[in-house]
Amino acid sequence: MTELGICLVTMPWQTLDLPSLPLGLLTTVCREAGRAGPDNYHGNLRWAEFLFERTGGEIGPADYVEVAENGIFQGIGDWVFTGVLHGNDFGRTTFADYVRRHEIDPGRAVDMRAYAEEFVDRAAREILDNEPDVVGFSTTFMQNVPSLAVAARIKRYAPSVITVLGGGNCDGPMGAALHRNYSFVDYVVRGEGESVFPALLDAIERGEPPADVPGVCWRRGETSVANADRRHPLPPGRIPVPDFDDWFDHLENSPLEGYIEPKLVLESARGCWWGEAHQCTFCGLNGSLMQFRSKPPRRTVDELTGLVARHRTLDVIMVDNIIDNHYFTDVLPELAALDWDLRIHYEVKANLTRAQIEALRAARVAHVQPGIESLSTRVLKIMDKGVDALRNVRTLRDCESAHLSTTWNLLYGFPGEADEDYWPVIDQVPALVHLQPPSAASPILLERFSPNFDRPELGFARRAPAAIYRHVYDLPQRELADLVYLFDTDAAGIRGPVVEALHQAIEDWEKRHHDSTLVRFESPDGIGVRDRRSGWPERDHRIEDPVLVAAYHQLEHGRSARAIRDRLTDEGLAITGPRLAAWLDELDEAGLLFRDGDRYLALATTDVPMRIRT
Amino acid sequence: MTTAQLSERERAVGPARLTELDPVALYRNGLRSLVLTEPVVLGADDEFDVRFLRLLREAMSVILRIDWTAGSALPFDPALVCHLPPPRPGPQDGVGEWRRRHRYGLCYYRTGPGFLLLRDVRAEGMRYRLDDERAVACWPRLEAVAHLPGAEPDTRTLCDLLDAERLVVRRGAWATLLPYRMRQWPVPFDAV
Repeated sequence: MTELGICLVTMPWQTLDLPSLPLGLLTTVCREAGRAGPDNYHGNLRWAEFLFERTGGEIGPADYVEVAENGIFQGIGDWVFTGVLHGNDFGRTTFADYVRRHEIDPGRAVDMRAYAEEFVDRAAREILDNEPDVVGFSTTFMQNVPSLAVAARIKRYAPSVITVLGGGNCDGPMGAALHRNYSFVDYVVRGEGESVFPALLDAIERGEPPADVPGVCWRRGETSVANADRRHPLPPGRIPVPDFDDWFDHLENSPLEGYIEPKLVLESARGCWWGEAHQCTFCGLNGSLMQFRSKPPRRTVDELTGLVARHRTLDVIMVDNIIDNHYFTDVLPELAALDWDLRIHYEVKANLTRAQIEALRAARVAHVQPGIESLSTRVLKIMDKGVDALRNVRTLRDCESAHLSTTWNLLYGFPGEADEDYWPVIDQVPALVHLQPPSAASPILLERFSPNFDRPELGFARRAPAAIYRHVYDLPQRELADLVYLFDTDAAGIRGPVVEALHQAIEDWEKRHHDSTLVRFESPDGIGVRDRRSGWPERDHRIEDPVLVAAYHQLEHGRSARAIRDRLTDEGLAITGPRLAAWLDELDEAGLLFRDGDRYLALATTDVPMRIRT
Repeated sequence: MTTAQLSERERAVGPARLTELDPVALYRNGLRSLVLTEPVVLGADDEFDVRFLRLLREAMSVILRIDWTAGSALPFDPALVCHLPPPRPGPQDGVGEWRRRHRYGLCYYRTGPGFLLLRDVRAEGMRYRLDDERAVACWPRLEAVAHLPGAEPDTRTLCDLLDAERLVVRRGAWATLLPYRMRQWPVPFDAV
C-alpha cells in the first residue's frame, strides 16, 4: 500500500490570530492513524502575507481582519476571490449595485480582488510543491470561494491530485450541492471529519469508491453521489487534541509576526444542551448536529494547560456554542487555582448565577458571549430562548460587576412580536447605560438548520437564497437553494417608528456607556448607591432601614412586590404593601430598577471594571 | 431612601505607612480607592522613590485607584512611568507629561507556566516572552524592591537585561520592576 501524501488547507478568511481548529484536529487524527504528516497550508496567513508584501504594507493585516470580521453577511470575502473561480468580471457589477443599494463600505476588498488571481496561482503551486496525493480544504463561512478557486487551480496543474472539501459549509445539502456543481472537487466530507476523513483516506488508498463512508459525496462515473450522513455524533472521547505546531512555527517566521498576537482555539464541547430540547428559533449554528457532548473535565483542563505550556500562549478562545454547566464546578476552579494570567473567551447561556459568573472571573475568563438577544420577555418566549428579560439584565449587571467583557446582540424581526413588546424596553434603556450595550440591534436572518428555516409555519414561508450570493456564485437559484446558509425572506415583526426608536436608544446607550456608573456599596449602616450615569442627575442614595435593606437584596434577584413581601416575612421582617409600593416607585423614579411586568430588578453593580474607549 | 454623600470603599492614607501598603491585599479586602492625604515628595530618598513606584505598580495591577499629588518635581522620565497612575494635575515638572501619556495597558506582564509575556507600548509597540528558567525564577525578586548590592548575580543580571529595555526603575542601590501584572482585564478585554 502506498502511503498517501496529504495536505490540509485553510484559506482566507479564517481568523489570522488563531490556528485552524479543523486543521489541528485532522492533523492529530491522521497522525494517530499512523499517517505521516500531514502538511498544513495556512492559506489565510499566506494571503495576508502576500497582500502585505505585494503592496509594500499598504494592505495590511488590519485590512484582512476588516473583511474577515465584517464581510460575512455581505459575502465580501468570497467576492474577492470569485473572479478567479467564475471569470474575471463575474460579480463586479452585481457587487457594486449591492454595496450602493445597502450603503456598505467594502473596505479594501476591491483593491484586494486585483491580487486574488496571482495569489490563487501561487497558493496552488506552493501546495503542489510537496507533491501531495490528497489536498483537503476546511471551509467555514467565507472560505468556500477561495477554497474552490485553489482546488480548481490544483486540478488544472495536477489532475491526479485528489481534492476534498469538508467543514461547516459542507454540512447537509450544502456539501452535496458543492460537489455536484464543482467537478474539480473529488470528494466532500459532510459532518464531523474526525471519523469520516480517515475512512475516506482508507478508501482512496484501497482504490475503492467510498460507497460505505457516511456523509461522503463522491462520483460514480459523472454522477455525484451523496452518502447518507452519520446518524450518531462523535463521542467526546474521540474528539482529538488539536496539533497546532505547524501554525505556531509558520507564524514565528512570518513577516506578520509582529502584527499578530497568537491565541489558542479549543473546544470543550460540541452541540448545544439547550438546543437539544428547545432550539432557539433563529439559530442554525449547530448545523445538523445539535446533540450536546462535552469532554470530561480532567481532559479539558489537561488539554488547555498542555497547549498553553507548549505554545506559551495565554489567550484561549473556547469555541463551544455553550459551556457545560458542570464546568462551573469541575473545570473553572481548577483553572483559577493555576494563578496564570489567562484571558479566556467562552460562550454561555444567559441565565448565569452570580456564583457561576464569579467562577468565570476567577478562572480568568475575560470575555463571555451570553445569548442575551432581547430584553423583552415576550420576544424571548417567541424565540424559545429559555430566559426572561429580567434574567438577561441581571446577567449583564453581574458580568459588569465581575469585569467580564460581554458581547451580545439585540435581535428583532420575530413573527408575532409587536410594538408594545419594545416600547417598555426602549423607555428603560436610559437606566441601563452603565451596563455593556449590545454590539448592534439587528433583524434576524433566516439561517439554514434553524427552526425558522426548517418550519415555514413559524412565519418565514417565502425564502430565497440571500441576495449576497448573486455576487459570489455563478449558479442557478435552485442550486444555490441547496448550497448556501443565509436566505432572504419577508420581514416579520416590528417596523417603522419603533425600529427607529430602538436603534436610537441603542446608539445613545453606546455613547453614554463609557462614562456611566451605578454602583452599590454595603456598609454596617446599610446600602449606598452612587449614581454617575450619563443623562441622570449625580446622586448618592442611602438605604438604612433594615427592612428596606433586606428588600433591596431581594430586588437584586429580581422579584415582584408580592414576592418581596413573602421573602421578608420569611426573614421575620414586615412591610406594608403601600409602603413597599411607594418605595419601589421611588427607586423606579430614580432609574435604579428594571421593570418587567410586575417584577423589578435592582440595576446597580457591585464594582466597575476598567473601561477603555475604543 | 435618603440621599447623602457616600463614604465609598476608599481609604485615606498618610505618608508614614505609604510604602508598606499592599494594594493587592487591600483590593481583595474590598478597597477600591486609596487617597494619599499628603503630597508625595520624590527625589529625596532613593529607596522611598522606588518603593512608591512599586506601590503605584501594584495598585495598577488590580485597578485600585490611587489619588495622589506630587509634592516635588518628578525625578522620573514620564515616558518611563507613564503606564502607572499619574499624580493629580500640578505645576511640577513632569506631571503634565505623565498625565498626557497615561492610559491603561501601556506596560504589563502576564504569568504562565514557566514563562512570562510582556507587552510594552509606552513608546513603540514591543512584545517579549521570557522563558529562561533562571530569569523567570528571579522575576519575583525584582517585583519586590531589590537592594542590588545584596542581590544574587542572577537577579542583577536580569535587572541589567530589563534595564536595557526600560522595564525596571533603578534609583541608587534600589530597583523594582516597572510592568504591572495584569490581574484584571479591562472592558473590552482585547483593548490592551
